Amino acid sequence: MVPLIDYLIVSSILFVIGVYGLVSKGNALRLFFAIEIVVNAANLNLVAFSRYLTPAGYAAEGQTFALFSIAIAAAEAAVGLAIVLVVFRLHKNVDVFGLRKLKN
Amino acid sequence: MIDENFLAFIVLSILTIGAALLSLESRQVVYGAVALAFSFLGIAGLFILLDATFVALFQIIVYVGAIAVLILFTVMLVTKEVEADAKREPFQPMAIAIAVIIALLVGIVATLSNLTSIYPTAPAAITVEQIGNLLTSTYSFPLEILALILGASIVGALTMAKTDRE
Repeated sequence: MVPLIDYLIVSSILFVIGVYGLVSKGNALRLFFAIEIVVNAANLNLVAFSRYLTPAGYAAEGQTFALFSIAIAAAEAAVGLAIVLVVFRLHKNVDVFGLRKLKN
Repeated sequence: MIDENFLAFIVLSILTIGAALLSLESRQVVYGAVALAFSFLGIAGLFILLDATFVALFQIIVYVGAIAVLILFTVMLVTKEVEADAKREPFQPMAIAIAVIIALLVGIVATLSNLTSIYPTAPAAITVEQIGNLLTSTYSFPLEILALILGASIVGALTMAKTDRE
């Protein structure tokens, strides 16, 4: 069997990849990808912990939380992609380093 | 000896991590979107390995079926002249440094903890019925809030994305 730490390692690597993308990328779509990767890492952690460290009487709780998390991510995806579309319509590109309208 | 469970885990995690990296580093954003869909699929496979079949199905339906397709459509709408000017990445060294620091911290904490010796004790007996019972009894109020959030996000997305052509 696979020990719990292996799933945690995979999810930490995914989280680190997502953080790297969030810090380095300038394309709004890539930032969006990075957010989705981070959310997936969190979901993997939820399900892995609920499988391995099942508290008595709360067996299905972790999976239910993962379902909620996936649904929230879907809502976030709709709004985020609409924002990307609006930014593209206003600026003709989606480079977030160029978005400085509020700065001055 | 190597058991097939571990082998499937290795293959799925390599697929997931590789696709996640490719989705951020691919030359074109469209390829990145497709790679992201594969990463979602790999996560769904890991869910199946964790005996969370219903969550895996949900992941495939919502992520691969809806979000990945939504992302692909947005990429196709947006990605016309993006390639040329989104290349500069002034924060890349800092990003790599932050990623390495976080990875080191997580690694140190994980090796110091007793997580390495935890194996599943009981066979998983979580059925869809249990999850449905939870969703309709204990978590019925969060479920209603979730429905409200989804509706509000759809209305918000439509309001933002609509053009003001009368």
